[in-house]
Parts: sequence; structure tokens; C-alpha cells
Amino acid sequence: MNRDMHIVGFQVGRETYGVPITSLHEIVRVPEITAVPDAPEYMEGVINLRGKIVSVIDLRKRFGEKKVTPGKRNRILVVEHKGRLSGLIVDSATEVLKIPAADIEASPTAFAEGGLKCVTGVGKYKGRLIVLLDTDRLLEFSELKPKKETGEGAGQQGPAAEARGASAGK
Amino acid sequence: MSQSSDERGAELRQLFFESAQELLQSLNEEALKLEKHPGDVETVRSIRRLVHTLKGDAAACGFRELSELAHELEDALTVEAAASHTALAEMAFIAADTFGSVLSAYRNKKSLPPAETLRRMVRELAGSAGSVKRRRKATGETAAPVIWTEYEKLAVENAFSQGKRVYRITARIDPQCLMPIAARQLLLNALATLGEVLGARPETASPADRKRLEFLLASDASAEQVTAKCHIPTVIAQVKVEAVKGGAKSAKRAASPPETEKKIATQVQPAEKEAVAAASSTENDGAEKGQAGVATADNILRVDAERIDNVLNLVGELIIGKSMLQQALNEFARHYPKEAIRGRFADAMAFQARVLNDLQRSVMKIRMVPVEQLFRRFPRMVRDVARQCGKEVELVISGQDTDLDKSILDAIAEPITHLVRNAVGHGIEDARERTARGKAARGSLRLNAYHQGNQVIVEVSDDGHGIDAQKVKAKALEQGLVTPEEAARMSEAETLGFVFRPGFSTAEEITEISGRGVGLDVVQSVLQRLKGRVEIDTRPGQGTTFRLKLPLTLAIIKALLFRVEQRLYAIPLNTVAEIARARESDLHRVDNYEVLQIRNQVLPLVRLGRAPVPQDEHPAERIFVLVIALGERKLGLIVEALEGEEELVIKALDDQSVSTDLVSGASILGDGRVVLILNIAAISDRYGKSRPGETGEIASGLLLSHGERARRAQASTEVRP
Repeated sequence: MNRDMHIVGFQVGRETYGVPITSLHEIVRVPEITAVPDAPEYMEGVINLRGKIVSVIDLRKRFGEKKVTPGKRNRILVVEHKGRLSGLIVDSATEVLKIPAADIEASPTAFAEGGLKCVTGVGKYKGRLIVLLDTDRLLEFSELKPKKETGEGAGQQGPAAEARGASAGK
Repeated sequence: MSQSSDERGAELRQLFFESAQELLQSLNEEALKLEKHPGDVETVRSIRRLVHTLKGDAAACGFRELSELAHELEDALTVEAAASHTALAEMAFIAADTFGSVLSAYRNKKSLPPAETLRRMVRELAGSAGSVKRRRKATGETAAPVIWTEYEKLAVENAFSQGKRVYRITARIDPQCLMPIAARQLLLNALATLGEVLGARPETASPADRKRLEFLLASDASAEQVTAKCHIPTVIAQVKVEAVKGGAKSAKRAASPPETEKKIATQVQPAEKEAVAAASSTENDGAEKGQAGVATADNILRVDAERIDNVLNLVGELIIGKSMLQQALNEFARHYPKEAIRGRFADAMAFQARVLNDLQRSVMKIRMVPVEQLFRRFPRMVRDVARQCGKEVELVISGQDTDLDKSILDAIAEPITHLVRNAVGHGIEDARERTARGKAARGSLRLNAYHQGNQVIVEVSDDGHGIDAQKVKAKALEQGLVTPEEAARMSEAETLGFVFRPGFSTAEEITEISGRGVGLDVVQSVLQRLKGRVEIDTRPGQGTTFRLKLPLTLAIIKALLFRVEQRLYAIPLNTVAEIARARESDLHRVDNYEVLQIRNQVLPLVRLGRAPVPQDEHPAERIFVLVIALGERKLGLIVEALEGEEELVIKALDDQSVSTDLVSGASILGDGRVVLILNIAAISDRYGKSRPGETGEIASGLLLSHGERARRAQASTEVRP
């Protein structure tokens, strides 16, 4: 069980998250995004990915970041979900981390209680904590009916905030 | 062959099922023809030819029961029988149905359905064609193409005098067999083991493409033995062994057709003689036709539609690639304006663009099929339904060459079936009623198709008693679908729209308003899915026309591009009735809705973007209003700028997370931008439902996202103290 996990690390806000490299289709720069009417707040719109139309979710909005500023380092993680591609906008995605399986801990029960099923575990990498996500669950989560009124609902609290809370509690 | 469960066998069977369906379709058509002109010799012959082909194909695939059934029918189907038997057309219909059910039984590997009705009719037919005629048929038809020489006739007589039995063997080489010459030799060798082959046709192993062999065999063996010997799987499709009856006289007759024919010629009418001559020639015709059929079949590929779609997708990506190149080239030109190589780049680009255009068009064309493929089903159906109802209905088909996207064609099959059934069953009156109203006793049903702009129109019209709009209205009131006030304001077209409501028709209605409404909701829903429309045109006492307006193809639309809130959107061009220019100050408000007066008409408007804030309103600001025609209703869309029209390759937007009914699809423009195609029906729907009453605000902002709407709401509360 001493295999290394290959994790693509990316930043949303101040946190580093990770997804298994196998769950990623590709990483692209943010192209022009076409907004979709009626879409929930975090649904940025659709992009043209070499002739395919791919819907894009802003993970920063999804995770409840208050201030979202577009930047040059922003990237879209393209993942495959139920046979189709979806994009996730992140602040930056730069590194592939090799984390030994032993350094990955199961997700704290606090996460599950908070309804956060998309966190699969927390990895330790060079003194940093990396929240490992399951993209499938993340997207299923996003497919919930868009709320009529976006805003201050507790459901909008992202894993970032909770993760922070959880790691602080450790 | 029958045991071959290998891949080729399966493939062959698949081919057979497909071709058999075509054959049955043709059989139905011929039967209809025969019904119209009973006793038409040419039609009977072509029916026979069809049955014959079916028999051969079925045998080749090892479907023995079907082959035998077809064989019996073919035997009974003689020109003479047709002349004397009036119910032949009926029999052909039953045959087509029986073959059809047998085929589907084979296909689904189920037990075979009983074919008793057909068998009984065949027996009747065979019996009714008198014995004399039968004999004449036997000699006239099978012997006519084969003329035995004097020497062979002599040989037959000799064989009889030696007490041997003489058989005439007719064999058909399996159409799949690639070496007919070898096949002939094989059969000849087989026969030689049984006795003496007195004669053979074709005489030598000439490169004749005739698949039919005839032999005269003198042998001691029984007919069964001969048959068994001749049965060589995969080479000989079918064998007929007839014993030439003993006695010099009959032998002579059997073996010397020229004389017999002379005898017949003296007996029969000249016309019939011609018929006999023609019978022999049709054999050849049939063979030739079969050849031609094989040739065209070879040129036709049956391709999975998905593969074509893949090609189309790739073409779409190529087009995007082209525009990427174009942009790179433009940039290059800016950097190196003096570089001579620019011209060459531009030439190459232009060439590539042209080829790409052709490529796209060709791929689109692959998907187009003539509407005839659909229409040809209906003659039989109309006949059956008309008969059930005891009516006389004539079906007139026109415009069957009109091309339509295959997927659309498949989708409208059911709606049109409903419409046709309704028209025959309820629209057209029975003969008595029709004559009482001074109409021809025979009702008429028209199927028509034609192109109009980038639409295809398919019409189903009858000359029945039409739909009474007043009764529809009364019914709608009774069912509580409308309030009396609404009903009073409804136009006729709106009223007629009720017949498409699911469950609108009731049993009582069938007598009252001719029962239209049965299955009509299917028509409506399919048409909506296809982004088409259905219109009713009805005149009391004179008939009804259902007009289906369909897009030419589902994959490409001509669209009008415009901007709302700086964002690009598209709507199908065919929904745009006109484009009007206006200033903000021209718009009026009625309740919470904005309206615009165009040529004495008040046009309700939908503001797709956000409404201008009252404070910084620019009354002079120019806007565009797209006038959308939705059936009878018109609606204006307020947009900021027009971007022109373009052909868009539609890509589905069926992603769960962007599910909104406002958008029916998306497309990628030449420069790689994504443009959303708006669903006009949904926009109109939302408009009808929106009741922004209390806030006193005008309805607007349909195309905003939830976040934007929330922000706007916030902004407006901040502005308003």
C-alpha cells in the first residue's frame, strides 16, 4: 500500500485542493465564456472546447469565495462526468503532486455531517494540507436544482470554509 | 445454408430482411394497383415476380417455410387465374400481411404464425383456374423459353419405349452462388449418376448469366430421389422435378413446346397469345430487373446515422480550425505587412474554405431522403381504414421527391399516420352522406410535400366535412379549458388549437365534431420537439388541411444573430416575421408590459435584457424589435443590436447543469465563439406566465442568470428609497 497517488493540485481562494490525475480530462486556459440564462450563480456558462460545448462551473463561487477576480493564472479543469465533459474554473492549477497513500487520511467525519460528500480525504504534502475532492460527486452536487434566490443560504457554504474549520480543529 | 450460423449467414439474413421489407412494400403497391384495375395482366405478373424473388431470397437464407408459402402462391398466380379470380388483390394484401408476420417471426426468432388464410385462398385460386388453363399454363409458361430439339424429342420417345421414366428438371442456381457455370456442371454430374441426361438448357456451359437450368433426364429413379440428388446446398436454390407422363403422345407434347404453342395459338384469343409471349419475355425481364436491382443495391450503403453525425461533427471542428487559421493569418499580416508569402497563405485559405463548404454540404446531403419513403406506406393504410369504415377514399400523393432529413422523416411518421387515420376515419363522410351533400361519393385524401424557404411543408388534406370551430369552443368550455370570457375573445385558429390538447376528444365527440383530437396531441408534441409547427386550415363542409411545417434539417438552421446585454444569441430565422427599429420613447406601457405600435397593430414586447433604469433613460436610444410569429400570435423581442444571419450547426445543450427551456441548443461560430439558440416557444410561454405585478416593474431580464437577477433586484431596492 505504499503507492503514490498522483494528484493535480489547484488553488481556490487560499486553499489547495487536489483531484486524482486520472479523473481529469485536461486543463485549459479560460476562454470566452458564454453565459446561459436562468443559470445558477456558480454556473458561469458554456465554452467551446475544440468544437464541443462544455458547461463551466466557477468553483470559486461554488465554494463560496466572496471575491472572485479573473486572473491570468485562472484555469479550467475539464473533467468527464457521466459521459460528458464539464469544466471547473479554479484560480490556478500548476502542480502534479505525488502523495504517498500513507499520507492520505480519510475525510473527517465533520465533512460528511456537513453534507460534504465530495471530499474524499485530506492529503499531507510537504507540510501542507490538500483537500482531496471527488469530481463526480462535486458535479452531482452542482446538479441540484438551482436555487431561485441565490445568496446567503447556508447551503452555499463551500468546502473551503469547512475544510478550514476542520483543519483548524485538528 | 440453413444451418450456417456464421457471420456471413447472419449478414445475409439481415440483408434479406431489409430487401424483403422492400418487396412487401412493392407487393402492397402492386396489390393496390390490381385492386384499381382488376385482372390487369402486367400487374399480376409483377406481383408474381415479387413473390418469386421473395421465394428465391427466402430459400437462399434457409427460411424454408416462407419460401414454400411463396412458392405455392407463385404457382397459383397465373395470368389466367388472375383474369378469372376477382379477389386476387385481396389475396395479395393478405399475402403481404402473412409474409410480413412470418418475416417478423423469423427476425424475432419466434414461432411462425399460421398462414391458413393465405393457404386457403391460394388453394381456391388454384382450383378456380380450370384444369385446361392449368395445363396450358404448364406448357405455355415453363416450356416456352426452352425449345427442345428434334433429336432430344426423339431421345425422350426412345426412353419411354425403353420403359424409363422421364423427368423434366428445372433448377435455379442460388443467386449467391458465384460460379453458375460450375453449378451447372455439378448438377449435371449429379444427374448423370441417376440416368441419362437427354437434354440440357442452357446447352453448353456458355457464360450465360441465366440462373435457370432445365434438364431432361431419363432414369429409373423416383421423382423424390431425383429431387434429393439435385439439392445441392448453397449452389442450387430450388429444384422442380416434373415427371413427363408416359406415352409417346404426351411425351411429345411435353417435349415439343413449339407444337403445343401452335395449338394454343389456334385456341386462344390473339390478346392472350400475346400474353403468353409476354410471359416468356417477362421471365427475362425479371432476370434483368433482378440484375439491375442487385447493381443498385451494390451502390447503396446502409450506414448507421451515428457515423454520419460523427463526420458532421468533425466537419464542424474543421470549420472552427479554419477560422483559427484565419485569425493567425490576420495577425501574421499585421506583423509582416510586406511579406510576399501572405498572398499564398490567403489563396490556400480560400481554397480550403471552399472545399470545407462543399464538404459540409455533402455531409448534410447524406442525411436527406425523399419523403416518398414515408408516403409509400399510406396507400395500403388508407385502403384498409377506408374499408373498415365502409368508405370510399382515394389517396392522391404529390411532392414525394421532396427531400427531408432522415431523423425528421422518422419522427413525423407517427403524426402523419394519426392525421391520415383521422382524416379517413372521421374527416371524410361516408358515400351516402357525401352524395346527399352534393359531393362525389368517393372521398379524396391528399398527401403533399414541398419546400418553402428553409422549411419543408407536409400537408394532409381531406375533402370531408371540416372541423366546426364553434363545437370545439363549446367543448373546451364544457371541459373547463377556457373561461367564457376567454372563449369569446379567441380567434378561430386559437380555438382549433384545442384539438391538439391531450384527451380533448371524447367518445361523444366522435360523432359531434368528427372525432378529431384522437392522437392529435402526439402530432403537436412531436412537432414541438422538431421545432416545427402544425397549422389547421378547415372549411366547414369542404374539408380540412393539416399543414406540418418542419425545419429542413435538425442539424443546421439559418439563424438571426443579435446581442442582448452585449451577449450574442440566435433565433431560427424562420420564426422572424420582420425586424422593426424603434426608439425607447416609441414604447408604451400597458400594465407591466411594454408594447409597440406597428402599422395599427399593438405588438406585445419581451425585454430580453434588463430594462433601462428610469434615471438615466435615453428616450432617443435606438433599439431593434424582432417580430416573432408564433402561429397566430405575434411577439416582439427587444434586442440591442443585430449581428446578421448565419447558418449554424446545432449542438445539443442537454447538459443537466445548464438545463433551461429558454435555450434549445448552442452552436459554435466561425471564430470559435459559442452562441446560444433561444427557444422562442419557451420565451413566449414565460412571457405569458410572468406576472411581475406588485413591484410595478416591467417584465424584463429574461436572459439573465439568477445571480444577475439577484443583483439587479438589490440595485433597484437601493435606488428606490
